[in-house]
Amino acid sequence: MRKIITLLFSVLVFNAWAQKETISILTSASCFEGPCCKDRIEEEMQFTRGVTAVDFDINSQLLTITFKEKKTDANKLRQVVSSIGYNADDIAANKEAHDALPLCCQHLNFK
Amino acid sequence: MKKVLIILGILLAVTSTQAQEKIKGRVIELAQNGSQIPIIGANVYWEGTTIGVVTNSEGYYLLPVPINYPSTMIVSFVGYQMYSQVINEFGNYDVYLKPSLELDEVKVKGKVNTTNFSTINTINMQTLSTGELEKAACCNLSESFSTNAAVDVNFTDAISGSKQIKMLGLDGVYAQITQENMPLIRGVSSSFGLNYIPATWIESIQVIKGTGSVVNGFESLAGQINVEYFKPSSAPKLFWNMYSNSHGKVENNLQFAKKEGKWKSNLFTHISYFDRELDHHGGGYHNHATHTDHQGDNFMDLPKINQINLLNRWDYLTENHHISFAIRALKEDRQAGTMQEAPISYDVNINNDVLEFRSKIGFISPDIPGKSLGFQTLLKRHNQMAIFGKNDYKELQESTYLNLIRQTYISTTDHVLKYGISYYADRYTTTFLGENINIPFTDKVRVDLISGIFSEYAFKIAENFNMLAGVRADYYNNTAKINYLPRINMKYNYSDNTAIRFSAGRAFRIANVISENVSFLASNRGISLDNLNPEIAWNFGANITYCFKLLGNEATINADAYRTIFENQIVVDIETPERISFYNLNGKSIANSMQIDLICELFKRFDVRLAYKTNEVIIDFNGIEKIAPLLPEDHMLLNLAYATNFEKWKFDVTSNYIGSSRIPNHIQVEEDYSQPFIVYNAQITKRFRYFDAYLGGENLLDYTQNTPILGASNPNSSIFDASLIYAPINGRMIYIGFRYKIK
Repeated sequence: MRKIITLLFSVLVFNAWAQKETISILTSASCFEGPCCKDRIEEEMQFTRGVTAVDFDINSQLLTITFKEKKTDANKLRQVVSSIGYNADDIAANKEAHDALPLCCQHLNFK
Repeated sequence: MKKVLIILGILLAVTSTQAQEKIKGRVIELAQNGSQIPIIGANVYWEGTTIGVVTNSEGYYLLPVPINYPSTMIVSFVGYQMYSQVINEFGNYDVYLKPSLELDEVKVKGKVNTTNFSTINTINMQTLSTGELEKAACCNLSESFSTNAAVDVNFTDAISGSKQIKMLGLDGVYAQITQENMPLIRGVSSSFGLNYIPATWIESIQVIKGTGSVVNGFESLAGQINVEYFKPSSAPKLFWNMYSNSHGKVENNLQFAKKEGKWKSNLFTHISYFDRELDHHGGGYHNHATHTDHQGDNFMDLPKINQINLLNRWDYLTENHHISFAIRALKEDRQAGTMQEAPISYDVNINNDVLEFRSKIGFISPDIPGKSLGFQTLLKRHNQMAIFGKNDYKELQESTYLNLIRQTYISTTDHVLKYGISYYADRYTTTFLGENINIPFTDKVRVDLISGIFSEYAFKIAENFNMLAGVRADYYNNTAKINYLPRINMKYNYSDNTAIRFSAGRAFRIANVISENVSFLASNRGISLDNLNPEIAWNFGANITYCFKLLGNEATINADAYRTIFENQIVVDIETPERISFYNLNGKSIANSMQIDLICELFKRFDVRLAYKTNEVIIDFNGIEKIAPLLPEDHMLLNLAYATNFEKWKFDVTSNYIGSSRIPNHIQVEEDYSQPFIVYNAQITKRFRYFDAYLGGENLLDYTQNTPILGASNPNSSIFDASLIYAPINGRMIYIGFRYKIK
């Protein structure tokens, strides 16, 4: 038990030491049919190296990410979003990835 | 030129009307874990007009365009804050409604408890989500409640491996168990039905205490348990789960979802297989501490099981109707009884075949808000054969269920009226042979026809007072009597974070005694059957839900007390040694149950759930008032759950304290009451990018009932009894499994 506490404590301390940064990325992910794109983006980000917090806001299409500066940077994260199939700020979506998305997660052109 | 312009203008107008799309989208409540709950029946309309629609059963709406842009779209629904948005062009507009009682400081973010008490619902309802079901990854619906104190689970006998539930101190048959609000477990499926719903098929479970709503039937004497399967929209495209445990049982769940196209579909498949003869339990020779002496009692601890189970559902959604149907097929063979080398053999064979078709058709008129029509049908054929030594029992159930529900609003959405008709037709063909029954019979046919009408009125008197009042009248052919079942539920929000509820209601059901008590066939008790009447009871309950902040985190306390008073009950009397009798209640039968739950997040991602329940159930057995047998007096549950960031690791520990139960007289049992005991379960889950893996253990302290099978040395003697079960019959069990998902 004591070991576990020590371990937990050290993990917490290490986490606090690491330099973190939070950015917001404007994406083209518009969820009109259910939770699929929110889940998709958040899950992909959670398994991206260096990411410690993710939140995707469906209404504003803003993806807020906290990450460890040592392990990744904002551009790399934008590339990840692009590889999922969505635009990320000025980086365009990877076309192949976008076309492979389920229909409900693809861009909807309203006009 | 002018003409040309006019023609052009007309053309443009025509094309624009042709291209004129509708305003569409979905009305959703965003749960705190980010999952989206569709809001069904919400009003979507243009401000200052009568043009409006109602969301369908998946929360989608399709609204005709307004007379001119910009227009204000209003979305409203009882229990939620009204939402308005100025619309400038057609397109998709998803709307997130917030519950009207939501505390301002509560951010719609982060996590939500896997088990929820609501302060909004008029009925005392607890929702168990997938997360809760995954905490104890084994195996089917009967085990889904192992982290929940409202529903108790235990083995019913030491031979068949069947598990049954108890609610409010009453047997599971007194709870109406439904699938997507249509009958799931009735009649022949009572003893094994819970084992036939694999946990991986289940999206959520709602546990309602008290008689609840009249819309879904007449049978909820103690409460209702509703199972929602995964929908094509919420299920992963592919889901694969494999599970194996230290006994050697293997389960495989393979599930597919077709999410594109007009017809959306799910296919669920389940196979379980167990083919080992284990004999650890029972007998005076067994030593728990060392496990050195496996003499056992010559009976298999667990039955050999072969199960194939399929469910296929299809959903078709358009703007004004929703059609869905599902087919389920199951085949299971169980073999149990004595080991091969046993000197005196006692063979148990249980076979079940189920074929089921159900459909739901919903009509929503897009122009009139709040009005809908739903029609549910269910056709079922269940054939059960159970041979327990000298008891040879066979039963075939053929059932039809029809339910028509009309929903409408009176003047405003604060007054919702539902009414409809229902029809149940069940034919039971029963054979019971053997030396134990008083009068053996072959192919005895009973036809139950129950036609009912019902009406329910939900209204909001003040901002903080809701009421749900309903009445059913059901005509039952065999008694040629109409049963009137009034039910009322009230909720008062004392403050934003406190809800007080009262409920009262009457319910009735028709007992099918043998199939409901198959476990007692695992004995040589002499069986006597009387002429049996329907069971009728009143249920009264009160409940308080209080949300507060504990160390800066959200916490909920839920306390409730329920009393069920039977007007008639089929008493299952095992008080006389070597006999079991079923007869109509003569005297009183009262079940009292009180429970208090505390749910809180002690610190980030560390959840604690503490529950305590006490039961007092008194029945007149042939004029002698006694406490119900084999029912724990109290039950305490502590569940600790910790998850690392992003839930990449999850740790769960559950401990259940089970109080003492009264043991009916038996020549080989000295005590009148069993010893209280504690059972520990734990599980670790690791989440990877595409799959989860889990490792867990049940009954970690290896606590078992000493002699689960009484008179095991001679299964032909009249004292042989494997049905007096009050504690776990199997020792420590370790399991491992994985879940693979493609979204």
